[in-house]
Amino acid sequence: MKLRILHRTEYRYALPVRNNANALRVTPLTNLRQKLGLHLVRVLPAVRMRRYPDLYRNHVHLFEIEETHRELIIDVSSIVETTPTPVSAIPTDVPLAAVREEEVIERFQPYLLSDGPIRITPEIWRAAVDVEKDRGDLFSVIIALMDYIHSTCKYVPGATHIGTNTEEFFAKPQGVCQDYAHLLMALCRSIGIPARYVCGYVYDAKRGDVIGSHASHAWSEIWIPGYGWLGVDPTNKKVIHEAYVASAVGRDYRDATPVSGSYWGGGDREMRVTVHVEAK
Amino acid sequence: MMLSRVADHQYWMSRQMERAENLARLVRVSEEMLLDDESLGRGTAEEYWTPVLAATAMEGTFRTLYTEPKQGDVARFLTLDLRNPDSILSCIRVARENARSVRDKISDEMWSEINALNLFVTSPEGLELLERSPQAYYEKIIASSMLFDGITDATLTRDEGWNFLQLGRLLERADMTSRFLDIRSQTQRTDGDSALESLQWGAVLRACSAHAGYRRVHGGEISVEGVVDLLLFSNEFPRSVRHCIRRADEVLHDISGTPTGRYSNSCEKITGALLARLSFAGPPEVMARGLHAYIDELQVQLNAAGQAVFENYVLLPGEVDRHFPRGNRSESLSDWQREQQQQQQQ
Amino acid sequence: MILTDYKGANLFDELVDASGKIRPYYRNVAEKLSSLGNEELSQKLRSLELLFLNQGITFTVYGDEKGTERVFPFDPFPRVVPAGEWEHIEAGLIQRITALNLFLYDVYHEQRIIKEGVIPPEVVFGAAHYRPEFVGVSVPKDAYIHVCGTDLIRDRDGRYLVLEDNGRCPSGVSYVLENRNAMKRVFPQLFGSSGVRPVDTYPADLLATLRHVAPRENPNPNVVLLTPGAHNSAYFEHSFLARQMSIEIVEGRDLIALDGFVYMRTTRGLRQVDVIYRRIDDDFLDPQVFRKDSCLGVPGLVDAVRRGNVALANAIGTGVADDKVTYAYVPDMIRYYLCQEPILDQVPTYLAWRDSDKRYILENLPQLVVKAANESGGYGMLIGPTATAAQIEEFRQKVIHHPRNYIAQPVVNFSQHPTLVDGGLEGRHVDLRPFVLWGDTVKVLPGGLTRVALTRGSLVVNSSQGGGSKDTWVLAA
Repeated sequence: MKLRILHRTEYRYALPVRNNANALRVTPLTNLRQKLGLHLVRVLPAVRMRRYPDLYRNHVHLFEIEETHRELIIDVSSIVETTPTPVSAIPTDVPLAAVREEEVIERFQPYLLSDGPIRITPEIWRAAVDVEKDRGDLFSVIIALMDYIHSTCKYVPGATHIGTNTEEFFAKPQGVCQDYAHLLMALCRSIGIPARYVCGYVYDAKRGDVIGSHASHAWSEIWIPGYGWLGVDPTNKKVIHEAYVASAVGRDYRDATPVSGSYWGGGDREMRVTVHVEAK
Repeated sequence: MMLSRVADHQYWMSRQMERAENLARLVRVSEEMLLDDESLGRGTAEEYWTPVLAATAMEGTFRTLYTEPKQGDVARFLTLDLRNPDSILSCIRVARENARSVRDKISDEMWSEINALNLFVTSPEGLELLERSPQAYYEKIIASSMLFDGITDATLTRDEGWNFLQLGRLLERADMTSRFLDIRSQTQRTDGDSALESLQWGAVLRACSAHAGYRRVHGGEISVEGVVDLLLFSNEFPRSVRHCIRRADEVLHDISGTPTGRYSNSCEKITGALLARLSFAGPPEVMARGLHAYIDELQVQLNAAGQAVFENYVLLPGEVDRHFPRGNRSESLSDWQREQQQQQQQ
Repeated sequence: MILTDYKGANLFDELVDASGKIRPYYRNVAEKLSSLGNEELSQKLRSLELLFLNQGITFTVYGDEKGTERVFPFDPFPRVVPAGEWEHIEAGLIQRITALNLFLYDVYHEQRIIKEGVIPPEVVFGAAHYRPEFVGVSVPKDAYIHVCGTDLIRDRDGRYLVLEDNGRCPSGVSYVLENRNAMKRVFPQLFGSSGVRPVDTYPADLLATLRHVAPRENPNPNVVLLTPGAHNSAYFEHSFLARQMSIEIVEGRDLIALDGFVYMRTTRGLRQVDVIYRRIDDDFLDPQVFRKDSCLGVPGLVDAVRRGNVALANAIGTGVADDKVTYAYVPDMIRYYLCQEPILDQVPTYLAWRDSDKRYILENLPQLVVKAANESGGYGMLIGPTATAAQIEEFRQKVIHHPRNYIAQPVVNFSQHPTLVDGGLEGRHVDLRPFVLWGDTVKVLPGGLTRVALTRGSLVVNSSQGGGSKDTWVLAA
């Protein structure tokens, strides 16, 4: 499937700011599932762009606007070709014990930690264990955990903020895709399954029934030994398919935020994000 | 509100078109008349054409280019000679240039028509027609101008631009009608031959397409008083000076938004005064004053009206004196137009 | 029309591939065209010509004493660009205009690209259209080139190459729109279910682009189009665009600058102007700053621009970016500012001011195309292979004495397209000028002006030099 993604981030500052330095993680990844075609980044005010790949092989654009300004606009357009993930290829016979191998634990250590927004509490562990028990293989555990989240949490924009952690969300399960993804990761990690955070986009063919298609979206990836990372979207209760495009991955949202930066200056700041994903 | 220059172009586009049409009317009727005269062995071409050139204020230009008014020369001078800035061809060219400058303000159909006319007058077919049947050639020009007017009426939004366009046409028509009258006032060589006199006045009526209108009001007999009454004072006949001025006065009030009967600027003052003068006079006053003298005064007023439009709507306050050195104002009006055209060509 | 006789040539043919087969995306239109009888076709062509003439869709040829207006010859066989190719062109053009605008911002501010040695200082400072007096002057939204017309050609392999960027006052877009209108009126049956992307949103997009740079907070900024006047060769286009956008078309004498603001003269007095879409060169904008003898401009306009009270599109000084020497550095600019590889390739360029290149140019003049760095419209150009010895000698002297002013490129035998000539189809060289709008978003008009060199074998497509045009069909899928 060929998707065209337009992603615009606008900041308006009540007072002039300067030395506005930003890192963008908005470049769709190229991997077995998806291939990045044409890709353009435009920033206003005019500024030179630098690029580097980070620790997680995300493409990072860097820029710093030194002169004073009241407005920052970042326009990203990408064309991505995705390939379907055949469900039949996902192994349903990998035992949970497979992730408990020494080798896996060592390699995926960062994706097993209780750290930052991923806070693994006894309650979360308890919930994970309850869902896990009686299920033999990894895949069905993952699906069951996703179903569990989907049925217990409510999608309520504005109920949480960017720094909400899983403990808070678990106590009052109302939030957005970032919270859903973090919680799924916390549940997985609590029972020793490596899980990472994905930021990206999703195309809504039917227009209306996919949450997150009008903003940048977030979901989780779970490691299945012998298969690889399996993308799971707890917000929409879906194993990710060809309508999904990943732009950055990491331990949690902090590693994969589309736009992060700092500037000199006070006053209020207003942010607006618009995302259009269309099939070509 | 509109660009002053655009108002100016709209005004001159229609004014030059109307002038071309009236010249075509004049040449057509004159050639017809001359044919009659010649076949009757009366008068010379010079005697015939001199008053025509005088009344249209082109005698001076003609004399610089030609020695004497020979039949073919005058017709060519009035029709196709680009050295004559007031020839039919010159007028059409200027009208089209003005139209081109406001291409985005007029309808496609108007532009097509003015373009087609411009192409026709010098096209091989056009020239061939002029050779073979001059009447048909001039009729085609007249018809095209009238078609242009009709298209304008049917396709142009009634905004300020439309008003300026009307203004140009009305002031020119009033001016030309008065000049047609003046031609006869200068040819006082009928020696009491009343048949010849009515023939000549009949030609004036024909030039103004006023035959039918005349008969309705004054019956079959053609008299000077009757013609003057119709062409100067008629409130109904669309080519009469009074009718044109009344319409022009309405248009001016429409532009400024001032109620009729009052005035807010110098053009409205002039047209208002002119209208009053034409409304409360008739042939006896004209005959008492003398036709030529009366028309002369009228034309001074008409010129003043045109110039006042320019001063009020085209120039900014303070620029009037720069464009019109005192003393010689009325003449420089169309000079300014020409100067503009030249500027663009650089 | 009979297509069976049409043959490709030893270069890229738009219609047929190397084996002579019609390319799949042309099948639809080719079939429909062949079903037209010759009689019907020539009749339609006559009505087209009449349509153009009566509509006054003309241009003026300079250097012609009579100042004749001519109809831009129109060829009814549309050029078809499939969706995938267009996607590539579109992205390449957006990348390019982005880099050019960043370059212009840099050149008129910190000049980092020069300080860091990416572009030699003499390239910038030696460009005829560089405006040092504008260093440090900010323009709204950092936008310099708002409207860009980039000329593309295709080489033997069908690869699109950028031939030049027109970042000053590119013209031709009105023909794109009028050609489409004419095609729809005269050949409605060709469109059918062909899935041609419409071009008629251009005026609205252009207006949005212009309003975007309005300097003052005003929900309804006053945007005007500044033309040199009715005698300019592109006047038809100026009035066409003004009409389509419902904005005033003004001449210099309609504007007046007072205390750093620009106003237009109306029948109701003066009215402030916010954005000027100017279709006149920098040189003629303001006699107080540039050419003193210009009577087209507005004294005081530049001061108003400097004070930020009025915006010009395109901005002053963009000529440094579409200079033909600068052109050679655009790929470096893309790498420098965007950290990307150029999406569109360009023609290899030899710069006469580099000694080694100069030697090469002088030794190979008969095989090269030599161009003046700052001219456009096909003026001031030498096409080596077809030039006379005297012309070659003339350019040899020019290159020797004014090396900064000249560049040379190998002759690219660019693609040909079937064109109706004397009732039959013959291959004629074509180029493509798409139009890019740089506003709140960047938009590329899906299509562009396909110009045809009507003389057999000629590589010159400019309207002033006997070129014609075609409708350009970008397919939706």
